[in-house]
Amino acid sequence: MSHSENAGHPEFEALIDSYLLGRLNAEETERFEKHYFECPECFRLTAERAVLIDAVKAAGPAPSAATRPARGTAGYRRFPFGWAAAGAAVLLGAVAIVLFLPRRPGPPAFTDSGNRVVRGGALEIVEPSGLLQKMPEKFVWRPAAGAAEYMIIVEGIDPVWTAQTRDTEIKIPAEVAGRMAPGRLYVWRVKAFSAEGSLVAASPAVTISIAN
Amino acid sequence: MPLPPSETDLDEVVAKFRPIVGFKIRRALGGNNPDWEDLTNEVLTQTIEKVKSGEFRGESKIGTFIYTIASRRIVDYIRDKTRIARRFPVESDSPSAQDRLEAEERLRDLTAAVLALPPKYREVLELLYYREMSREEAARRLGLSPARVSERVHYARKLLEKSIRRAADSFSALPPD
Repeated sequence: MSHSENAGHPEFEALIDSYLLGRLNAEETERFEKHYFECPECFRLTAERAVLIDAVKAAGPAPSAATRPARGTAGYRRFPFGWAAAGAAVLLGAVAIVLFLPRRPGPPAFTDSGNRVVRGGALEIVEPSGLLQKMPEKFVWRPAAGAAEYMIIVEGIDPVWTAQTRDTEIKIPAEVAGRMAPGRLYVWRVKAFSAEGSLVAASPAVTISIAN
Repeated sequence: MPLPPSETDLDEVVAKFRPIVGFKIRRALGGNNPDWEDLTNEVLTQTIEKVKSGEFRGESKIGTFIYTIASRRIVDYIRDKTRIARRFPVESDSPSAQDRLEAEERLRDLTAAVLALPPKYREVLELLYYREMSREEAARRLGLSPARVSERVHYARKLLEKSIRRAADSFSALPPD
């Protein structure tokens, strides 16, 4: 018997992905949350979607999707932006494969979605952390042994920013700083990858907030 | 005039709302912030106190009432992060180490099930939830209609139904690491 269709509140179900991926605005989020506080079935669907998303993130990228060009079917264009972009997309896909090696089927050696323990080395954060007087200019961390590249992830109630660098610090771009508001909590962390693309170290999540 | 709530009623309310409050608070605080458990206990304790004191009389829905308490507690916490919540009496219902291990294991099982999916189902999940594309972007990428993408996601979820259900049931008790 399928439990995946909630005949009761289809307009709610249509928003579950948007809520979990941080696409709803504050008003929509409040309405959505108030509903699942009242409706056990809708809460169950939301919680189930949340674990699925955790698992998909832990499973990592599927390399076939990274390099496969879009298949043509009537009405759907292959590469709307031309061959130069197609070449760039394949190159980025190839880089993505180098950075994130495909995992063999079976339980992963470790999981690295935001809520799970990342086994492996610890990566030490330098700054910023805690309550800040103003918007930070950059994020800084200590080098990790064996690391060729680092990925920084910044999250609030909505995901804020992800970027990669070979340095052990990264400046916040103006448009990212512009999205971060005083009085709200943000969490940032860094993952270190070897040249072969395997995860070698991860920092704990550090909470920051900018004073009003 | 409604009867005052019995202890059983209140236990039921706590048991019913613990996963819901915990879920909202964890999302608000971010994945690795361990304070969510204490805040959840605070919210549930406050709820019990307000019901017992008569502040909540059943004139609105209790879910909305608890939502409001949770929202306010989150705002207070954000404003004053240095004040870590103290231990509260309902904590005896908090997840045990056993619960945590089980929840971790079930998520690993679900992850393994995702990895084992036939590629065309794995790839729609990956585009929508790992790369966080919109349905339309994923459709363009795969050369499918958006409706077909939705169908595949639905079917993928059906294939994973049992593992999802088991992981979600233990997720209610899931703490951060």
